[in-house]
Amino acid sequence: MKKPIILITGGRAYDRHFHGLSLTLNKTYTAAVAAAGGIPLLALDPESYDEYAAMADGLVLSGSQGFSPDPKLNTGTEHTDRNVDDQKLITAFRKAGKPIMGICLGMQQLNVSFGGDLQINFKYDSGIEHMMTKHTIEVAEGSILHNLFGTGFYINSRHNLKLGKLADELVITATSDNGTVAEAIEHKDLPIIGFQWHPERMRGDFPEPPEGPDMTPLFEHFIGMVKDNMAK
Amino acid sequence: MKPKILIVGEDGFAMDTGHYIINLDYARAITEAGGLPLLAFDWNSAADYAEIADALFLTGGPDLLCYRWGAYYKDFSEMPPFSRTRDDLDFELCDRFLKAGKPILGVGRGCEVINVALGGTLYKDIEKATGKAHPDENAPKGGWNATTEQAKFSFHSVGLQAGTKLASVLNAEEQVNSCHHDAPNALGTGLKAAAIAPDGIIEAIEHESLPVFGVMWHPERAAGDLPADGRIFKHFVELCK
Repeated sequence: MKKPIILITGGRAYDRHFHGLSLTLNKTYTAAVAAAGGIPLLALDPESYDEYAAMADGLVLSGSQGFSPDPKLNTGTEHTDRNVDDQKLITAFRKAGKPIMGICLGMQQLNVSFGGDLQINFKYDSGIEHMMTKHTIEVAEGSILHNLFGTGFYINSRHNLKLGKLADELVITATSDNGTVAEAIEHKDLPIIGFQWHPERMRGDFPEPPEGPDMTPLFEHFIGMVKDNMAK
Repeated sequence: MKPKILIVGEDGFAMDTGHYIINLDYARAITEAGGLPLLAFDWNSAADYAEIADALFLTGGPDLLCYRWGAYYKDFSEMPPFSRTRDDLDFELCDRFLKAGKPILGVGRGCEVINVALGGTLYKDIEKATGKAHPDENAPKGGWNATTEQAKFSFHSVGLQAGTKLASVLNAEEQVNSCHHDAPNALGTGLKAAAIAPDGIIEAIEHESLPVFGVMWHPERAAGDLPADGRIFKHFVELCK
């Protein structure tokens, strides 16, 4: 079988000359996709979503990337267009019936795409800090995560938003903080999965956090879903 | 289906995990010319990229390490900012697209990659090698930190060489932006000069038989009073059809 082409979304940033808007992506995403047997490519044109969905076999929605070494320029790099772009790509891949993996912001985008909503800055309501930290999660039996890694384990945590109302077509397969924060989702019928943490950072020589399992099998599982879908 | 144009971007280490980054001017130029832009990252996927994509677009960026064309640095002060991993990806993809006979466009650094991949050499620094500033000593040298748009760039004219394919796309003489300090010296096998600046520096190259060409200026970029120039990209995307 052909190697699956995996389209990845990037985030807006300034180039190293601070000259113009650019798109950027952490190397961890492409390393994880390539190591699992996919061919990673970044989508560059926000209006060609249908063509990207036609040529690629699967979609990975990355976390938010807004980045510039100069904080003064950071305003506006994580452009609101990003949300529109991601939603158009999700819609196009859903129409094409192709698998999607959402990571962090990507999982939140999936919930929005299927009719759910988000809760912003939940730490002020709950006192729970989920930015630049680590914690354990509880995993639902029968889920992809449970089959791969077992009941509970450490993950990294880098988000200020969490899922609010869950979309009807989605199921929560992992939670933290006594079930108050959704940490992973699966679609009831379609090959669509999402994770609130960064599994692509839980690989390699310096996994984050070191206590957690190596998440390479999760990416291999997603590439497997893509291959199953290609064989249909 | 639009032609799929593979773009190679910058390769950075500023974030804790390292990152890839691409100026959207390049992507926009390809989109407006009718191509579907895709960014390549992975050296291990080079063979797959060469099969999937219809053409390769090598973009601007830091200097090539001069070991690639058999030169050496006398001391560290000669060493430019560089990215060995990006050099590896650029040359791997350039070789594979050359072998596949698919179109390649190089801009700035990308033009130099094409020349070196085919066995050519570069001036590491035009001024040190020739004793003359490029374009000339009166041109503004503000670079990217300049306070006005105009001062960021230098400009000069180029003369298109009669009988080249590029001369059929552009006028006999063109005004271009200029932000490079290295340039093609000896040309690689099968390459000829397609445009030359008044000071004799080779500003564009093209292959005699393959759909492969490069320019040392940045047509994707509006600079000062010069607007971005879509003609080269239209020609490039046409080559894929």
